[in-house]
Amino acid sequence: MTGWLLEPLTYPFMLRGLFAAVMVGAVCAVLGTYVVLRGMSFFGDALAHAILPGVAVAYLARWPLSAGALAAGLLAAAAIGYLQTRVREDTAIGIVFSGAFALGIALLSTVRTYTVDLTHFLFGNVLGVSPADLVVTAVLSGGVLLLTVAFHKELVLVSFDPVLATVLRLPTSLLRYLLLFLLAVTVVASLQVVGVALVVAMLVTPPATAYLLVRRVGPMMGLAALFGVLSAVAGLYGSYYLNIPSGPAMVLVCTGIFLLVLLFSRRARPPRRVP
Amino acid sequence: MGENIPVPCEVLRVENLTVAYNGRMALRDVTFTVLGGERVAVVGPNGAGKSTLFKAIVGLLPPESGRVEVFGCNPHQERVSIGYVPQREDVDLTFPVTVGDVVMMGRVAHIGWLRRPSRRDREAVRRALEQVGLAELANRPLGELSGGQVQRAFIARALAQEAPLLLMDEPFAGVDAASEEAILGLLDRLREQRVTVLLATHDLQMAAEWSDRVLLLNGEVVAYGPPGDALCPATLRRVYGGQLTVWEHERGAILLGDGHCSGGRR
Repeated sequence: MTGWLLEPLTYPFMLRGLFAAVMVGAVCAVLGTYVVLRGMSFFGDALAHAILPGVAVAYLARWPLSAGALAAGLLAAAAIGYLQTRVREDTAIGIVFSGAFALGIALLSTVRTYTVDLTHFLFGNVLGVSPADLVVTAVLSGGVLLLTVAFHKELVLVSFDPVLATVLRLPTSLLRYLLLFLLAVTVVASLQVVGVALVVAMLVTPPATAYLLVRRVGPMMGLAALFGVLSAVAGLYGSYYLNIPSGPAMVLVCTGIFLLVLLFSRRARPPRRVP
Repeated sequence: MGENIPVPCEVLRVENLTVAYNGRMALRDVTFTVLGGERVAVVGPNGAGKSTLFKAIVGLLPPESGRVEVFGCNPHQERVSIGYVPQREDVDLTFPVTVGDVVMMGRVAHIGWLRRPSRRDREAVRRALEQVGLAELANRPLGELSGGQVQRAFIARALAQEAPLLLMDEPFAGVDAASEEAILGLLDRLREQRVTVLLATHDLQMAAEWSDRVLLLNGEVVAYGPPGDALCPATLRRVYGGQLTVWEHERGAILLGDGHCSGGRR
């Protein structure tokens, strides 16, 4: 058993993959708690898909992938923000998401090794994490976690009750943009590990699992991070031994844990509004 | 030792306030002032602009013209602070917070950026919960409370702000008897603490019995003054028209039959 667990770690690429998986599992779950509580999962999914053209351009121009991804993510968030003033929010998200994703695929299809590269971007390639990638992931995840902890009470307040936040004269729109920015950075940090197509599962499923068990934001984040890390590490081994892409492997573990908890947790969802 | 009689100072001044809401003029040219420690009932039919007035005072709705000034009576208080208890319909009960967490949110501005709650903040939360009779439910998830208890939790949150001015929008709408009693008792204690309270209600009897002054509203100020003056047959007919039956008693007292009972819902 221990040999089965330790043997892969004798390879440096597996060790790097393990570190990346742990960080991504944790940071996705913490930020994902806000995604779940604010009902932003469609937005998170859209943001992830919308970074593909940025990744493609950076890849073709041989720039750092994360720089291209971050630029595209922020651009997409701004575009959605603007379109919301003209059409409904979910419509705006749908337009930006599919348009940007199509552009990304079109750009990538000009590359000869198209299918392999696209698969990596879409579904992650945790076993191909370079030392430089690991540093980028560590800096981005660390930054996101630091800001999330630093502004915890303000972010919780503006998520739960923007009215009170306004009455208390907090900069509510600044806090909302901070959250979108953190979400974009989280998605970029997760790119290599889970890929753009499935990152929303790492954002949503661990916090949703934790929500079934606890009834406070802090513990929900902690428990979600635990589930996220557990899924990421288990998925890494699955990816190694079963030779499947890391993204689907991690998401399948995540979903499995969710279903298990769902089966054994009796807690019903309270009514959304006061009866 | 001479007694220090507090000079009643102005806590709220609303001048020529005009507010648009959903594309229509909800309030026109509203002017009134409230003194420290006063209890003001804001009265009017549905759509009279009671909620709009409160939202404009706390800064949730920008005025088209006119202005709102809020003064703390305590010169050492650097931050303008208004406690605001909105109507309960806007609460998300699925959010994972305890009653204590909700009340602590009223302290966020006091605590300040990058800081954690101090002993003083926890003390303020405990006191606020005691005042509304929810001290023993501090660790209960918000989603497990009854409607009246949720209302009391939100009042406690406003109290935890330790604001000299408190605005309550229909606090009795859809509330059980125990909670109604707790809120009424609280309002009396707030008077002793000289907290200025503005309370929006459609209950004319409550307004007449409880308040120092009544602001009768119907898109504009119809009357503002002591209940006996503001709620006279002439002004009430102007506001309620045929919806209200007004009986005049020999000695000038009025008995009022409230012709509509749908509460403050929009």
